[in-house]
Amino acid sequence: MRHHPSEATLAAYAGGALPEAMGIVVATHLFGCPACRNFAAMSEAVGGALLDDLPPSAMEDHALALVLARAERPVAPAVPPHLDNGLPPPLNACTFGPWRRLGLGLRWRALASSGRIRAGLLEGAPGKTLPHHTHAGLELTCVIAGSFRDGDERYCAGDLAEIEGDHRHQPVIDGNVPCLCIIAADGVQFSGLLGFAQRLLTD
Amino acid sequence: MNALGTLAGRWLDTHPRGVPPPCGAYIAAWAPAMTTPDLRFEDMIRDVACRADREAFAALFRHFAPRVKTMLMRGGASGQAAEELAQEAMLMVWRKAAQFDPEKAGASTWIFTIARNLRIDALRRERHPDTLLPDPTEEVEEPARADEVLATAERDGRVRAAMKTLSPEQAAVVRAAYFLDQPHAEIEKQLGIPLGTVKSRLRLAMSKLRAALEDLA
Repeated sequence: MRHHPSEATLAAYAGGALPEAMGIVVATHLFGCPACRNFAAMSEAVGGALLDDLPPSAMEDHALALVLARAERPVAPAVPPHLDNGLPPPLNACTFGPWRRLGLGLRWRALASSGRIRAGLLEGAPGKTLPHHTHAGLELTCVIAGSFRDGDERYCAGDLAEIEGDHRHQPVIDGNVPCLCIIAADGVQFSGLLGFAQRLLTD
Repeated sequence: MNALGTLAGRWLDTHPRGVPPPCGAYIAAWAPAMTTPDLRFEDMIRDVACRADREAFAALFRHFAPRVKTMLMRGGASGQAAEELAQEAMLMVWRKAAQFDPEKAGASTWIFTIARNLRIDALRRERHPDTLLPDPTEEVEEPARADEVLATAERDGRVRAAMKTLSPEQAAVVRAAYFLDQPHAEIEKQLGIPLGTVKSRLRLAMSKLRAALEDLA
């Protein structure tokens, strides 16, 4: 199962424990992958069964009355933010920064998100090679358009690459069209001269 | 041991805290193949949706609110914050009852996802007040084909059965993975096992659950 999220990642997603930016990459994959959606639904059922078996913690005395009183008040329907950004639906409500050129035929558009997880859209022209880099933690990449090759593996639209730990890799964009990916990574370390590109990414 | 003792024993096996069971559970104890303990909760949600039934809602509240509160406290929320979020979750149950689709998820699974989403929202407000991110679990997926969806009751039953086959170590890791904030590091701290072991146990446990469903898909 190299082109899908691992079971542990899908379980963390369904349990709500995956960092949010990584959850967005998983959601992009789930949009087009019925098998993983099924596994995510099963993982939610695991959550439901676990919830049922938890010991109860006493609620405050008037909790039920408070909730029923609030339930009677009318609610204005919430309009979810929806931006027609030409991306797959799971990314429609995301806010991205401006495109930034990274050199080497690559450009990067950061996802508005903070914390240690760095996430965004990466686009590269055919034949371009991504910088050598290693990971301290988890990296999730979902292909939106085009394709890339990493070693013997080829990733096409909808595929998800999950890489963890000390994997040093160098993806190459193949095919005839630019490759667009949504990426979330925990603790990426670019090696060599490309440290400067990493500083760009941190903005 | 008499018949009543056996029934009580079965009840305590699955509900060790001595909580009054829903009627469905008694039936399940006698005829496990015919029904599931959750059957009535689905009906109650329907009654809330169709006729704003406050008694059905009160029954749902009595079962789920205290458990959602426990879930949130295990995730690191204070008693006060967990109380408020549990009330919020039950308010969502009332408001969204019409969206509940028993074909897609059982009552506890549905309420679990509501509580989970509220927890994600609360963490986001606390940690990144300025960012706009969508709820990653809002449903934007393509409609599932009929042949890829397992009957909910069958899936929930299989999941529960498969969870009983996990070793105590695997079950502990799965429980922790669902309820702790920053689960992997926290599990390492709380269960005193190295991160690599946490991850491999979790992977094994989830593969086991996946295998239990595979012949159904």
